[in-house]
Formats: sequence, C-alpha cells, structure tokens
Amino acid sequence: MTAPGSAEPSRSAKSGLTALCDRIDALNEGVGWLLGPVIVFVSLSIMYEVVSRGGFNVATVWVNEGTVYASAAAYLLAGGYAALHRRHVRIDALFGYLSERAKKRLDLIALPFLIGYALTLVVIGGQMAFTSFLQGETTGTPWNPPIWPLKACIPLAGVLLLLQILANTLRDIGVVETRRAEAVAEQGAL
Amino acid sequence: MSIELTSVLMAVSFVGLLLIGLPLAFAAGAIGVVFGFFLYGPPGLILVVTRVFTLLGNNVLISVPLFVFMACLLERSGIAEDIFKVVSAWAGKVPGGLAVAVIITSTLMAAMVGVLGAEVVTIGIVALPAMLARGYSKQLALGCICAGGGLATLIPPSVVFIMYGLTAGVSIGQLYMAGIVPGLMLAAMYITYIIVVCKFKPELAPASATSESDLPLGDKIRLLGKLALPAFVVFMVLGSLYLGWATPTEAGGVGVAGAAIAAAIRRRLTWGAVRHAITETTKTTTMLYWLFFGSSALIGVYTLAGGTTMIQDVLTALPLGPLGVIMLMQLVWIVLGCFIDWIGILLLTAPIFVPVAVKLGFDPVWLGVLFCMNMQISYISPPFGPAAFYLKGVAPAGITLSDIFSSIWPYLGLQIVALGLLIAFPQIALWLPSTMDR
Repeated sequence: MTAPGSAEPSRSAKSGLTALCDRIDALNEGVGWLLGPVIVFVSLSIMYEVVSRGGFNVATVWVNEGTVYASAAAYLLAGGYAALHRRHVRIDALFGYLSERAKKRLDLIALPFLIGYALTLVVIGGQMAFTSFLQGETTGTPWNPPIWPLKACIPLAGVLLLLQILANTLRDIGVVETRRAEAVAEQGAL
Repeated sequence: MSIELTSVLMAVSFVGLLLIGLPLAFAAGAIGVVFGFFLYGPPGLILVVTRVFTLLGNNVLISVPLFVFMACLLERSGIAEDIFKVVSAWAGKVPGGLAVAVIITSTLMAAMVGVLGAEVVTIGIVALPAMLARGYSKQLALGCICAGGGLATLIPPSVVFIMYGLTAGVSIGQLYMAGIVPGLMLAAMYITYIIVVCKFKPELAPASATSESDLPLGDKIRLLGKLALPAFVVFMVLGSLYLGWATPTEAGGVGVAGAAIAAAIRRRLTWGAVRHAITETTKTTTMLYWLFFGSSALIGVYTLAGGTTMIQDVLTALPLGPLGVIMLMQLVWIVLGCFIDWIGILLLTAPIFVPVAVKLGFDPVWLGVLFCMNMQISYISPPFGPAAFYLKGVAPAGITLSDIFSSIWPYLGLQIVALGLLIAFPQIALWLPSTMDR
C-alpha cells in the first residue's frame, strides 16, 4: 500500500532486503525487455544489406559494424537478465543431489568468486572505457564510430550482473524469501 | 611456479568451482581472474577484460542470435506437423513407417533449426502420440525421436558448428557444407535400421488399418505442396550460402526472414509468438556469449602461462601416431560428453585439440565434423543425455526416463559406426565443401 521506496520505520530489515531484491529483479527484467528487440533490428539490417548488395550492387558501410556493435552491447548487458532467469548453464553432477543446507553453504563459498569476476569487469572495464573516452578512440573503419560506448557496456554489464548475483544469492540462502517457482532453473533450448 | 603445477592447480580449482554449483561461464571467468592476478598482477586482470572486448568485435558471433531466433520462430510455426503429415502419408506402407517419417521429418527440420532442444520437443509433441496410438512399441517410438533430434547438430545451420568455427578459427561455410553428407548418411543408417528391424519384428510397428497411407495417389501428390514452405526456408539458408549470395552470418539473417515469412503464411506469426521468440533468443544467446567471455578469459590466461603449448607438446609427443592422438581426442570427448554440455567441452578442448590436429596434418573442418558426431552421442547417452530430458518433458504420463534411455542403444551403436566411418574416410565430410566456390 505504500509508495515504492518509502521505507516504513516499522519494517524489519528483512523486508527491506526483500524490496531491494525485488527492485534488482525488476531492473534486470526491464533491461532484458528493452534489449530483446535488438535481434529484430539486426535481422532487418542484414536483410537490407543482402538485398541492396545482391540486387543493386550497393554495399553499406554501417550494417556489418552496426549489427556487431548492437548485438555485442545487448548480449553483454543482458548478463544479469540471464542470471535472473537462471539460464547460465551449470553442472548438476554433484550440486543437484545435495541437501538444501549444503547447497546454501556452497552458495556462500561461490559468492566471492562470482563477485571477483564481476568486479574485475566493473573496475578494469571502467578504466579501459574511460581511457578510450579521453582518447576519443574510434574503430578506424570507413564508418568509424567511437569505441568508448561499447567499452562502457562492460562495466555497466558488470554492475547489472553483480546486483543480480547478490539478489539471487540472498534468495538462495533464504535471507530473502523466494516468492516464486521461477527460482528453479528454466529449461533452456540448448 | 612451473607450468605443470599451474595446470594442475587451475584444473582442480576450475572443477572445484563447477562442482560447488557455479555456472560454467562464471567459473571460467573467475579462474581467469584469480590466476591472471596471481601470476601477473593487475596486467593479468587487464588481459581478462581485453579478451572479453576482443570477442565483442567478432563478426561471426552474431550468427548465434540469428540462428537461435530463426529456430524460435520456426518452433511454433507448425511446419514440423506439416512435414510429418506428408511424410507419414507417403511412408505409411513401409515397415515402421511412422518411425521412418520421424527420421525424415527430423532431417528436414534439422536443415532449418540449428538448436538441439527445439527439435526433440517439437517432434515429440507431433509424432509420439501418433506412434503410441498406432500401437508402436515404446522402444521404437522413443528411440527414433531422440536420435532424430540429434541430427540438428550435424546438419546445417547448426549452432554447434558456429561455436566450433569461432573457437577453432575455421570457416563456418566450410563446416556447414562438411556436415551435410555425414548428417544424411546417419539419417539413412537410422532409416535402414528401422525398416530392417520392423521387417523382422512386425509386432513393433503394427501397420495402419486405414488412415493416411490409403489416400488416393492424387491426394498424396497434392499433400506434397505442403513441403514447399520448408523447402523455401531450407533454400533461403543453405542455398544463399552455397551460391555465395550471403556470408554464413548473413545467411542467419536471411534464415530469420525465411522463418518469419513461413510462420506468417501459416498464420502463426502472432504478437505473442514473436514476443516469446525474442525473449528466448535473448536468454539463450546471452548465456552463450557469456560462456565465450569466461572461457576466452580462462584460455587467455592459460595460454599466456604456456599451458596450451605444454599440452600440445605432450599430445604430439605421445607414442600413439597421428591417428592414435585423434582416437584419444574422441575418447576424451565421449567421456566428457557423459557429464558436461557440448558447449563446455567445445570451449575447453577445441583451443587445445585443433592446433594439435592441424600440426599432425589433419583438416580442422574434418575434426569439427568428428566433434559434432561425438556430441550426438553425448546428446542421447545416459545418464545426462539432454534429449531424454526434453522428450520426457513432453511425453505422456507412464513414460519414464529409463524407458527413454533404454530405447537409444541401437542408435548409439549406429552413431559410433558412423564416427568410425568418418575417421576412416574423411572424404565423406570433406567432399562437398571442396566443390564449393571459395
């Protein structure tokens, strides 16, 4: 009944965390929703290139690079979205057969490694993007777009992934109650 | 620290992280980060991120979402139903006709769909109830669906080939052409097996009392019209590629257009279906991209430390002879295939195996086809064969996982025979690409 974000003083810390995790889920869900249509843009651009080259012998300067650029950014940034839907493949040879308690402990052991990887992307990727921005680095091709926006996607993707990892772990270890059956891994198409 | 010790530590900690439940993509990335920093300090971390960035500029990588999107659009287009209907009408009088129709339908679908799970699910929904209603034995009905579904690995446009081509630095177009003949050969072996078995044990597949196969010839010919649409989609992808109109990446875009047109003609291109295809594409592709990022970081650090060279030296120095080394690779793939997904096996072994095979004088395209053959085996073999789990998901109640796994043995045998044939006669794979314009 309260407006989102207005933390009531009577609320326990636990429900505050729940709200936070829900926000993170919603954020990455939104990112995935926004990025999805990129594949439609990529498909249409490529059709356009094939037809204009094959039919009219005119090749574009932007399709090849533009589609690589757009899809790279999209599927990089969707890292947290895929984590939200538990689509990153894992090996269940041992983990799948453990008790709930053992799983929770292992989740806590795994956490620092996940954070280490995501933080590397954020910090080192951030430095690389910033340097590229200062230098005004471009791709050096006929179309020649600036590179820094793509490089900046690496730290941004790191942040989105980091947030989702934290939210998932909080749910997995039971600090935040799981509100859904979706926490069970979805069956992927591969 | 010696490279041997580094190798052991990296392998042990990587397997450790996998066993405690880290996703493959993040376990690989994390090991890259930890060992990169441990061995080289901050520059090691820069290496990790640079490897990720380098991948982002790769032109071939976009064919992954394109072919996944194409598969998702076709999945709900109802094309599989059409093909199965036509083929079972024509194959009705053949012993085991419906099972033969399943293999033919799978082969045609495999030429449009490059993603593994989609096929078993679609064909399972269409064909399994039909076969069980006709009184086919469970063994026959389940086995042919699992085996047929695996053909999507070998027959282009296969996502497995794209990932192999990217990892091994081999032309995707060449790989696609190399997969066609072995794929058709395997399908022919399945069909022959089904016909022979049903000839000698007719009780496995009771002939139809009435139904489709008794259609007058005119109707049967009219039914063939339904194959125009699938033929059009197949031509869009393979034709444009073979004739050189489109690069392999662009063929993906052309395929998406073909799939969309086909779905629209069948009035299945609804807003909901497109929406579903888009989200599935985003999730699946993101998973694959991140796997590439992680494994590229891991392999990058390991190569810099001299590990890749070390393993290559060891493998080439083995007293097995060139063919012995290839056999050893098959063995590694088969064993790993029982436990890990194809994608993990590919990303971890290809950067090491491919240079060794090339050094020993083998064609990396041929090795790619061998890899796909192996992954078909792992796709249906117990205890984790994904095909069985996909099929279980859509099978009627009363069909258990062990029913499915016990049905696959004859097909597993045929796959191993086909693998042996490919090793003995590389021309089965390499002839078609050699006729292609380069």
